[in-house]
Amino acid sequence: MNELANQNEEISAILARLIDPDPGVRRIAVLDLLDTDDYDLVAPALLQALGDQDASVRAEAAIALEGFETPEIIRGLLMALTDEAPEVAKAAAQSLAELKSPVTGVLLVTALSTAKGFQKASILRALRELRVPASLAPALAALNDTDDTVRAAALGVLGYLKAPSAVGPIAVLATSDKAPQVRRIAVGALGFEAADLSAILPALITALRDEFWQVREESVATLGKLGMDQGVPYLIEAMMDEYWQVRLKAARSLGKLRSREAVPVLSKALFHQVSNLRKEAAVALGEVGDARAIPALEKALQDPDPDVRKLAGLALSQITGK
Amino acid sequence: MPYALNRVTVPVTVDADKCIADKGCTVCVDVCPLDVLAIDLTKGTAYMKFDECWYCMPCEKDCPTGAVNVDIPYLLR
Repeated sequence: MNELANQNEEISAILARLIDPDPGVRRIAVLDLLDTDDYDLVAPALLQALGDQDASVRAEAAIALEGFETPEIIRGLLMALTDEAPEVAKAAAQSLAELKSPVTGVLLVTALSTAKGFQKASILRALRELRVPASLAPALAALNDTDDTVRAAALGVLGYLKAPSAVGPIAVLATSDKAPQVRRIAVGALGFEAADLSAILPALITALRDEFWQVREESVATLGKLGMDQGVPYLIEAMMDEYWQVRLKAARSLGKLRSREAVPVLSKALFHQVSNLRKEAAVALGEVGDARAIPALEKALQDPDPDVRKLAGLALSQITGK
Repeated sequence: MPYALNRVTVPVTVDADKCIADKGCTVCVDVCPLDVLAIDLTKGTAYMKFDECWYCMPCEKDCPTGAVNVDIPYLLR
């Protein structure tokens, strides 16, 4: 009983500081509020602090509201996304992104209809992990947004939903979006779709010719992830890419696909000047398990990089079964 | 435990102009796992009371005003 009384006293003292004329004191009161366990008292107080006249207090409140999932608080955070102070808007977006309960998705989807720019991208980001079916239609519509960050966030939602109907629109963005970052994310989002491989492959092949290496890298990784044997010739071609980073992911995918046709290119990559690629090639050759790779792997046992030597040894034992 | 009183420099320094300990902030003192920071009640700022730092950084990271600076020794960087 005494303990309870003490706690109430402590909270009253913090609530009094929350209306102090000094914004610094109010901000610290927000921090202290979080350390108390009484959520019924804390939530309304934090919501009030979210409407404070000082931006630093509002930002602190937006950070503190992470983990609260009541409708009032979500509405408050959605409002804070349009705050004039960028630090408040960013903090609100971060807290919204941590929402876990799918029930909150309805509120977010409703808010999406009038949102734009940063606000829209943040709401889509928050919807991503909730995987609510209601977010499919607005996310598809957002693929035509003029803002790069909105399109990227919408792709995130679609990638998580894994809806077959989204494959076509995602493939269009993967091959023809004007922003390289968006193309890269779209190519990655195709990796989640297991529905219709015939629609995905042409898009991935086009992405392999992209002028930005990050898009090509994502494409070879996605080919491996989907386990598409039809992709092998293109992956072998990607082993000639001017960027070793692309070759590295291609080697990993070829290993995953256990492609025997790839043994010559992988053996060659075993002697590339970048040791990361040499390591990946050794691992891939082990996975493929073709005896033709043995001479090259034996030579790689003399590699200057100890990791390459170790992985070449492992690959050899995988192939010979010893 | 050695007191830091006679030392000229300690690894954790606090910018007195930025520190808001006078407004009730004790974040750095609360997060320090070694409890080596304290509030100087006469000046209203935080300071390093004991020179026993692990260089774990939460005091610098969590300080709401960015007043805390941890000077990591060259060989630990």
